[in-house]
Amino acid sequence: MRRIHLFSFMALSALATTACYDDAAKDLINFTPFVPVEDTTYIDLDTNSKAAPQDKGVLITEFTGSSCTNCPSAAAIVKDLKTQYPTQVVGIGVHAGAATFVNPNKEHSHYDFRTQDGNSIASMLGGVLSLPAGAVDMVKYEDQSSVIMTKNFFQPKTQSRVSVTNPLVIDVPVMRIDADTLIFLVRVLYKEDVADDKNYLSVYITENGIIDFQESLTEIILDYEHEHVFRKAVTSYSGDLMELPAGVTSYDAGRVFQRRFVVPIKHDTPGEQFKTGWNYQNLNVVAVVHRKTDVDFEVIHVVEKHTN
Amino acid sequence: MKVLGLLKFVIVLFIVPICLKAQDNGTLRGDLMVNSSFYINDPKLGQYGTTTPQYKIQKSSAEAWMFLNYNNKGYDFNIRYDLFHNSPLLNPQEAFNGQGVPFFNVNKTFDNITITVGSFYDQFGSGVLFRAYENRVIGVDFAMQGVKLEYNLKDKIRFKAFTGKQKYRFGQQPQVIQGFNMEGGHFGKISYTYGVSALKRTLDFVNDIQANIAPAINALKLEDRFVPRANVYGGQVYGSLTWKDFSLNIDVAAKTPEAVLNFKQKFVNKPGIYTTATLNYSTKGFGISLVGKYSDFFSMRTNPFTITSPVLVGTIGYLAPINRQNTYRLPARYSPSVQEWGEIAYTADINYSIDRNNVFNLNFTNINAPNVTDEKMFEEIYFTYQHNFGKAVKTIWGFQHVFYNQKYYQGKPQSTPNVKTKTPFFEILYKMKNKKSIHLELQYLRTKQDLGDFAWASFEYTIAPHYSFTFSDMVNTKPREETRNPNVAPGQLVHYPTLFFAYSYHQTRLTAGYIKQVEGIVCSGGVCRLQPAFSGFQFSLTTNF
Repeated sequence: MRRIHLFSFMALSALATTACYDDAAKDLINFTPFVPVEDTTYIDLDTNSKAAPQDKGVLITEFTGSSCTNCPSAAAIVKDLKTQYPTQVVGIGVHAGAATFVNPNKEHSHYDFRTQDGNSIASMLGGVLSLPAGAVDMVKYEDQSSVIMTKNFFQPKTQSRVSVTNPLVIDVPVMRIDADTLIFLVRVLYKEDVADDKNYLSVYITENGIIDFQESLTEIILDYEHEHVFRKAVTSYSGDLMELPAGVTSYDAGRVFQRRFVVPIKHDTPGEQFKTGWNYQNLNVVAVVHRKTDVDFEVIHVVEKHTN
Repeated sequence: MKVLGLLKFVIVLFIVPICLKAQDNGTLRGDLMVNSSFYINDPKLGQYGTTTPQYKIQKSSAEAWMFLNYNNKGYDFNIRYDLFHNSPLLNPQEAFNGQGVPFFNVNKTFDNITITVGSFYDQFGSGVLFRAYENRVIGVDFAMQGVKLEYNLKDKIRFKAFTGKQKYRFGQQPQVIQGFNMEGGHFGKISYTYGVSALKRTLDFVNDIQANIAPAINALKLEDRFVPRANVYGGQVYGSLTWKDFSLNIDVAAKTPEAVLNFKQKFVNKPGIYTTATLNYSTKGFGISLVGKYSDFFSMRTNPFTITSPVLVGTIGYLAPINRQNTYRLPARYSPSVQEWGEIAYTADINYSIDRNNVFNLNFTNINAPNVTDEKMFEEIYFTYQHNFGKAVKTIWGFQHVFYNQKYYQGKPQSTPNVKTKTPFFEILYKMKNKKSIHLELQYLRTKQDLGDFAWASFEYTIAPHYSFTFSDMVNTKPREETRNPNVAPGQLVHYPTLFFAYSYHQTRLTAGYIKQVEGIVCSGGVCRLQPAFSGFQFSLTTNF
């Protein structure tokens, strides 16, 4: 009897002791204060008066997976919306969620579309519990429990967002694109006053026209065309602060932010089963200006620029 | 994977019993349950009903479970074959297909030690720290798959220890769970029981922490970031003391800090605590029970993301509800689900019998969840008076008042008003000669919020022991314009009728019904989930052998 109690006491003590040494994840957490990078910001009322206004861009963050049988139907909804609103709707296809849906198929897949940034965006928006799913303008709507919702809401929520007033003009001139490097500028002009004290810029790279395996409800498609596949966030995945000069508390009409990006083109890793490299001829730059609150990341405006 | 499952099924079902049969026949027993549903779309059901995939594509669904137990020379072989075809049971928004043998085990008792290898259900005390259980009504199966040891010391103290992973559909969750429990007691003039439990859960470092938790923490403000732990440790102490007409039950549990999602779905590094105390007094014709509960971020789960899941997945510990579990249709319409972020709650239940034919019951419950909102979450006053007219006629007269914070319990928009209901109800059971009986229920739920007033009537005619016929109807008598389904004309009454037939013969029961059911929270065993509306036919068969 005493031995059993002694054994139980020792087992519980061992558990309590090991609880104190559990810091294997410490290298994964970034405790370095954020420093805004080389931004140029100025007031340019002349450009402001000449720049043509842009319709509000709407960002559909589509969470998908090559082994998710219902995902082609969600992609079709996004495609329809892009056809309906060709200058406004921008899609990014993020392969994140349950491993069984997003892992490349060992038998049929040539590509691995998963990315660390994609996982981070999924977590940032509240986690992807089932596929297909997505966010429209990264807004948490009143009738939804999370920013991420089912595909059935893509259309009504997009319709509600396309008519929102857009105070911004975003311009993305591409300076250079070749097999090794992509260089471009992102220029954000505030056409109208925006009363926020903090806006954020997120810039993503996506790729069109990737032919690879996709499972659907009825068949295995070996030559499915994957559109706007999310490849990388070249800012922080949650956006970089568009920092105002000292003493300025809001984004006044005429304020311009300009930033230059130099992005190395990712190549396949020799010896790996699946391709992770990019085709530089099919890349897009997606520039998003958004807010951040405790509940969502409302997109103020988004622009997609094909690099070729 | 399916081939492997089938192979396991064949080995356990046929080969093992055949090998043992050479020496001794042993005993084989089991049970079978089959459900099937046929869906008829009804636009008046509302948006949730029509977006459920079965109404658009599959049109029918089926579930089946067959459990077999073979016992020979002290060895127990258990297997269960599960089948889901186009099933919404595990996730109401999904048409899930799967079949195989997700539950199988062998167990053997040597002297005072019992060893179980494979799948098992069990719980420590009330289950707050660990409960592996199945509840088919709401699609829950939290079986463990691993190894379990039990040791009985002179039938006074029982020890349990296990290591395993939680079953998920036809596979397993990746997280490892290990537990230890010791229970004992004494029964005499003063009786007491006691128990001590410990539990450890380890996250999947790559898929949980690296891929999901760490990026989410890196998205927090710098001052809110923390290093997430891979392991969480929980401890529980519980016991009861009975003296004369009094009894006292206490259950205290705590867990070490881990990354948990708060109500706003942001990660925080929080320890958890849970405590309940129950005081009972019972004498002839009178009984009173007082229960108090305090919990703060006590949520034992396979991983922190499962707390936000609309379906019930990943629960390791069972947080029992404190409120009364109502069985009447309308009084059960606004049932609170346990808020794992924390609750401060109490309930009082009083029973008083003048004699056998006159029994009163009064219950009061109040629940608040400070980590969710400062608003009141739930309050219920429930009263019944039972009067028997001899042995043949039994009547129950009752009234319920509920305050239900719908925006938090059902995740509705912040503009959603709190639901306040007043529900009188009546039940009569009349036992006739020749084993026939009539059972009638009448209920009326009055509310100015949510969908408005509902009336309910149910008539059941039973010819024991074989036949039972039921007709019921639920009517939205005063629908609110604000929540009116656009497919329903203003002023038009929407009926939810059910016609149900059951036939029982020995151990077998067959049922068939035409059912139209409103969307709502369905609770079973204190665990709740939002159930979509249903319109169509349902059939079931259950049997034991």
